[in-house]
Amino acid sequence: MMVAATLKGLRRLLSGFTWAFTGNPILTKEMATRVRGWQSPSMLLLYPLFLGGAVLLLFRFVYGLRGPLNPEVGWAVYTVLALGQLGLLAVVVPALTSGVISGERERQTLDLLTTTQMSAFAIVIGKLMGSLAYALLLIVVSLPVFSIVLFFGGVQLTDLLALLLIYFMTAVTYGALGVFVSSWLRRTQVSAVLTYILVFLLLIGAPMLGAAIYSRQQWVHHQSGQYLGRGRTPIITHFSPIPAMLSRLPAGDALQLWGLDENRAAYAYGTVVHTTPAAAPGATPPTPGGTVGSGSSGAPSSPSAQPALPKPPDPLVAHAVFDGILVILLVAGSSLLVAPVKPWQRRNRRELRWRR
Amino acid sequence: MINVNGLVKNYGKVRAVSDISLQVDEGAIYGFIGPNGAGKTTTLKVLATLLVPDRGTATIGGYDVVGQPLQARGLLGYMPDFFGVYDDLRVTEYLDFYAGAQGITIGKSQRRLRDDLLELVDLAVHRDKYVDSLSRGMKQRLCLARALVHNPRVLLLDEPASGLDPRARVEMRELLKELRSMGKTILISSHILKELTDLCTHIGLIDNGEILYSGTLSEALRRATGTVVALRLAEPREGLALWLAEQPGVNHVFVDGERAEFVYEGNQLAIGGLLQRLVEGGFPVVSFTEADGDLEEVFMNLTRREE
Repeated sequence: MMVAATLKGLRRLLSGFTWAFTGNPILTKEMATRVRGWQSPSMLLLYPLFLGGAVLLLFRFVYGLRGPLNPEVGWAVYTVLALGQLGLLAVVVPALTSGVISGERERQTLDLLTTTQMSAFAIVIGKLMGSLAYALLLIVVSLPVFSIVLFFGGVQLTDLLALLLIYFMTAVTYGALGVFVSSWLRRTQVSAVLTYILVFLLLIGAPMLGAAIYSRQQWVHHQSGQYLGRGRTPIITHFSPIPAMLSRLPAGDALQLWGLDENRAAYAYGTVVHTTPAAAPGATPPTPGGTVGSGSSGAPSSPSAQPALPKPPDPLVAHAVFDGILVILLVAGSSLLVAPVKPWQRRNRRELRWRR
Repeated sequence: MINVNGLVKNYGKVRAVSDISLQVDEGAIYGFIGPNGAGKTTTLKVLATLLVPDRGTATIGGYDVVGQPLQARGLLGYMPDFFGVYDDLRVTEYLDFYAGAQGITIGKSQRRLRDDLLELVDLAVHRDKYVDSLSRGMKQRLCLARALVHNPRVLLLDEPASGLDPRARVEMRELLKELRSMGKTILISSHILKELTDLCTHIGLIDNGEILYSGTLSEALRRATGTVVALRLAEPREGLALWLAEQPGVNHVFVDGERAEFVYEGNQLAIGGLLQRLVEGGFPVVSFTEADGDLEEVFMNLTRREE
């Protein structure tokens, strides 16, 4: 009897979960109304034109289009585009999501939604997907511009796919953050401000703090007289998509072109701590901030003195894990905030009935 | 169909609803009457699965609104006192959206049902208009259509006629009569008491979070008829309130200058005797009449507090 009830509950949960993603009326409504009017379609047309124009200007005035097209220039343009579009996502996604639930409250439509057959989870997922659909459309329409760099060579299709994956994860994470803050706070304006602050902290604050922690580690190890290789990337660094993105760009010329020399970018590469007893013969003491070689292999600079250490996690994987956990927590939190009857209240009520 | 038992709901230290119990049978139209802040909206929100009570139970069609909210929602259509609309949707899209939210697949038959619903609320000619362009009365009717989109057996209507002009009120009342003839169980809260008189089969009077009366309308009217006495003296007299309060069968005494109103529990002969005693007591009575017994009087009698 208990097993049957559990199975029934699981079946209902699964069907509700599937419905939230496939038959969600909020998603249909949001997508239909978002492209209504002239603003959104115009933006979809103008955005790739703007990006294309920026690329042309970059070629014309920065590189002058002299000589044969070479991969180095391709990578440089690709880096600008990749980071620029990431910045755009950080601006657009909070704007799209930070008012989705608080706006419903302000419009006094949330009560009408929560008294339907839609669960709080379905409402949150519908709102999230409906808002993100537009941001993802912007990414899709930018793809032709990104494909320009393929002409230069050097950028592989897999690099482009990895970039798309990072964009997708970033959009979903920042979107979930916006929905959560919007579910938590009643006023859309306050919600938007807080969402932007949190996005800034995740995007820029986390790697900055990571860099500070990294430098501190290096300095402490240096003071203690221990030999240190490139050091371990602080976990907080992976909260930002930038290290994951940089890990898919060449650490050499392209980064240096944009002021990211190898030392500064090093923490982004998920390198390994190599500690040995102080004053290992032949070991070269590092400078604070770390000394790095190019690439992400984590090869020690003094191989004979280093023990074999496990390979560090790929920054993209580490970031994906962080994003995945954060999105699950944020969606669950938003669902709890939106639900008029919380799960523990339902359980209490069942117990009450049973006792009677 | 609706069962509320010992409902208590507090907002912080403020008690909004205090031990409310009521029962609404299938097909009944239950008028929920009370002044602002009496606890009507809180009770309706608990029934609509939007609020969790601190104590007590509420069921819709046998489903506990806290333990089985999804099942209860399937049976009820809720229209709040204040509501918003999506201004970027057309009338038909608005109804289709809520039909989808109720888990109804939008197909040919659902579109036909939606068109019938628009006919019912007299919005068929406005079907392609944007919701935002509708008048308040039309929006109220559209919201009612939204509440009906999944053909619920129970309707919870919180002040459905508030803010409407007289014509829109009449249209709303006619619509509710139509729904009554369709066999819906309706719980309606309103301040427009006279309009509820020819609509409701049952009423519940609520004040200060407590139910003062719950039962059939005919019983409420029977109680009211002949019990409210309006009295006027030639000039104000001190001691009138005290004198009236000491008389057997006199309740809810309200004195304002030379005028007084009170509820008298007794037959016509006893009322005559009371008048005689008043005159013999030296009060210069100018008029002594029984008030008309309508829902408003019932409400006034039961919600009037002692000064």
